[in-house]
Amino acid sequence: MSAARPQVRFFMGKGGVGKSTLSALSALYHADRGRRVVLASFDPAHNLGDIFQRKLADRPVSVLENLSVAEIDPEKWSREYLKEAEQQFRAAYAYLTTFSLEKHFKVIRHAPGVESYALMRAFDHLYRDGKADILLLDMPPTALSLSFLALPKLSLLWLGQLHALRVEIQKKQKMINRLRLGRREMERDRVMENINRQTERWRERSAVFSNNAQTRYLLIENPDALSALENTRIEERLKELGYGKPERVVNKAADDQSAFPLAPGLYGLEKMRAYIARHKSVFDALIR
Amino acid sequence: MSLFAGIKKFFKGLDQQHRRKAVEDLEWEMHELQHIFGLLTLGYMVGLPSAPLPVAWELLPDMPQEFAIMLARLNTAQNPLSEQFSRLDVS
Ligand SMILES: Nc1ncnc2c1ncn2[C@@H]1O[C@H](COP(=O)(O)OP(=O)(O)OP(=O)(O)O)[C@@H](O)[C@H]1O
Ligand SMILES: [Mg+2]
Repeated sequence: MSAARPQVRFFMGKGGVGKSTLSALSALYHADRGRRVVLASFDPAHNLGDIFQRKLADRPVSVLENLSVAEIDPEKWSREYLKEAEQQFRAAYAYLTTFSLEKHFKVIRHAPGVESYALMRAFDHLYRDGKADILLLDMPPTALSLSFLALPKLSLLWLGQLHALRVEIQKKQKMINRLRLGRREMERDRVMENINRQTERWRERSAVFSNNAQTRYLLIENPDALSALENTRIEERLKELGYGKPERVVNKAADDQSAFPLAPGLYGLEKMRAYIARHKSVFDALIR
Repeated sequence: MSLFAGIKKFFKGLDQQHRRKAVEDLEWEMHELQHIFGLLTLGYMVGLPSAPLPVAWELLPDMPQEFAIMLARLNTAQNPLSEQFSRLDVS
């Protein structure tokens, strides 16, 4: 990863704890300190538009000179991905009957993994954009967030297995070639090249997700047991994935120096700036 | 044909037969591995746990052989022993 790659912040937690609000406040906090910020919501039930009181879109919309906000449309990214994959498939397997192709695609459209991969493509896009020093992500409900974050590790696990198996297949092919044709050299193995290419890409993503100096996981909760319990689960899962130490952040607290206090009407630039000014020490401590 | 030439031919034939058999065995083994490869990537088509869909889908255009083997196996699924029998020259 080059030095130009942005810092990444994932805002996660139970429904309604304040992921959108805190990610928006953080975005504004960073932007007002001169950093170039991109904030994107991966939650199909968007409300960043309400918070910034702006009509937003699937691509980053400029809210301030150095702050852009996007409401990613996972459905759209899924559709695009499926279309692309279908085209490649049709090109490679033109000999198959339309019937068996259709049957295949019907299964695929609803297969698990499509949604989280669609988000991964959106993430790649924002990450490589080069327009941000810091990329903030308002994440979807926990299950989808975790399957998104697990995708690099899971893919690498399978690619590792496939690689090992492919090595075995190559060995056999080599022996067959030698016995039958008396030659040792192997033809180009496109499958192996494909495996290596994919492995490289998933390793890059995995490196970003597990780099503590670049990526932080902010688990938002409220002063109630349920939202804390959910974060404990998320924390365990992230640890399993090897993603460093997530940070738990309490929101809607009774006035407190180490948490974000309850305050009415946290939307619109003016009110948000007032909140940031009032609780500057909390922001300075928790929002890096 | 001299005895010597006869023996030589006999051994040569034997060697060729062995080689052919060895190649056949290897090809069968490779075929099996390719089938497993197909199952590990496209197993979701037959309800098996398999690689994440995006990984499988990106591989797909580069693995026509594995894909064909899988389809063929699916088609002979009603008679799963047929391949084994033909392999064992039992048919
Ligand atoms: N510190 C706070 N003080 C008072 N109200 C707050 C605070 N933080 C968030 N809220 C309010 O709580 C509600 C939920 O907040 P928000 O939409 O940010 O949560 P969320 O985690 O993004 O929810 P969802 O899971 O639905 O996306 C909103 O009405 C928001 O204005
Ligand atoms: Mg939200």
